[in-house]
Amino acid sequence: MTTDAEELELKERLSLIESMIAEGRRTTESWGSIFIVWGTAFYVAFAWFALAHSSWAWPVTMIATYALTRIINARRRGGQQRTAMQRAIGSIWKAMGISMLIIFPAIGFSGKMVDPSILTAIVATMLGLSNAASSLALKWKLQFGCALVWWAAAAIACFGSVTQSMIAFLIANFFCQILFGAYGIICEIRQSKKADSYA
Amino acid sequence: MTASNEELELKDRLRLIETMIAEGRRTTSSYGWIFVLWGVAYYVAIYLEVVLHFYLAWPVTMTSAALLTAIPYMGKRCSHPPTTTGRSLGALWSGTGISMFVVLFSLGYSGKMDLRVFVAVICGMLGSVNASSSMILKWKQQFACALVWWATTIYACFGNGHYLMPVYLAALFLCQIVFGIYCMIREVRARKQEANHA
Repeated sequence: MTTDAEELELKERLSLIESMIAEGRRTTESWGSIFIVWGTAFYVAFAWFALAHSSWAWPVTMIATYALTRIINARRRGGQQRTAMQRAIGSIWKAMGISMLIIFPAIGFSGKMVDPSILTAIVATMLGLSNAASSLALKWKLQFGCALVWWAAAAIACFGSVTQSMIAFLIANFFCQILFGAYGIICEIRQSKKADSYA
Repeated sequence: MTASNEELELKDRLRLIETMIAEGRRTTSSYGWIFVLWGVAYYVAIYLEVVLHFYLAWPVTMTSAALLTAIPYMGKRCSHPPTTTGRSLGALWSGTGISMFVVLFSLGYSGKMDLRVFVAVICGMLGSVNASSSMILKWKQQFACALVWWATTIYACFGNGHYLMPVYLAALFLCQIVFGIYCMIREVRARKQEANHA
């Protein structure tokens, strides 16, 4: 292959990646409702556990939210084509979901790790990991900001008291799930309005 | 756009994704030595801590491993065109590296870390990242590694504390050293095939 042809291929590939990144961002924005659903689920589980001291609070809320997420995703997808970037971002979140479904019931039911702040640190770190991976792949500073907030919450959970770790987690949840999800929904509405006006 | 055009575009797109997945696998195979390096680094850190009681065992070993990983790539420009899959995998492992550093450093210095917590956290995260990567690359062997890590996490939660270290070391051996060597063998084979074709 000549140098010109190689350069052309590289340029084509880069522009394709750029368009896939833009598509990936739009897809993540369209998941705004799912971010909000999970953010609300965390609050519900916390409130249920705090008020009723039920050991079923977390498993029931998480499984119900997982089922709700599957329903929302199945309705939305409707046979649409997916790009490599969308597949990759989907895989990151799917694997994180499976890990959480394996790790947290195991930690909770074994009763061998009694410090709740450790659990908070692990949840916050894993959410930080997924947000960081997604933001680095999508070149999205705002989402990387969410990753930083989750990591900060994880560090506070390690060094602070149980109450401090809970407060840090609830604040991070508000910013990174509820607010970020609402931002995604707003972006999606704007995009669909733009698309309508072009049509 | 006509139906046949749409079908053609869909086929092109699928072919492109398949090519990217294959390239991503080749890239991951070429990083086989990094899997082996980190596997050995964990063994060295455990040896320094448990046998020699060196209190800086983990920071020193992990920093050295990170430097050894980064040095070959410093100042080098990637010689081949990037792919979306390669970008996603890079982002995934970078995110994991930072997350592990944050949580292990914080747990270690806050005094909340014990062997059970350490194994549960590290294996849970390695399970998650290997599962993500295997789903992106459609790579069953790597998904098997994820299953081994997750099983170790469950053992850390429920299992007998006496056997936890041997179980963790066995998982490390299978998923870092053996998988890394497997990747290196794949890379050597691919290179040989390329040389034959040339």
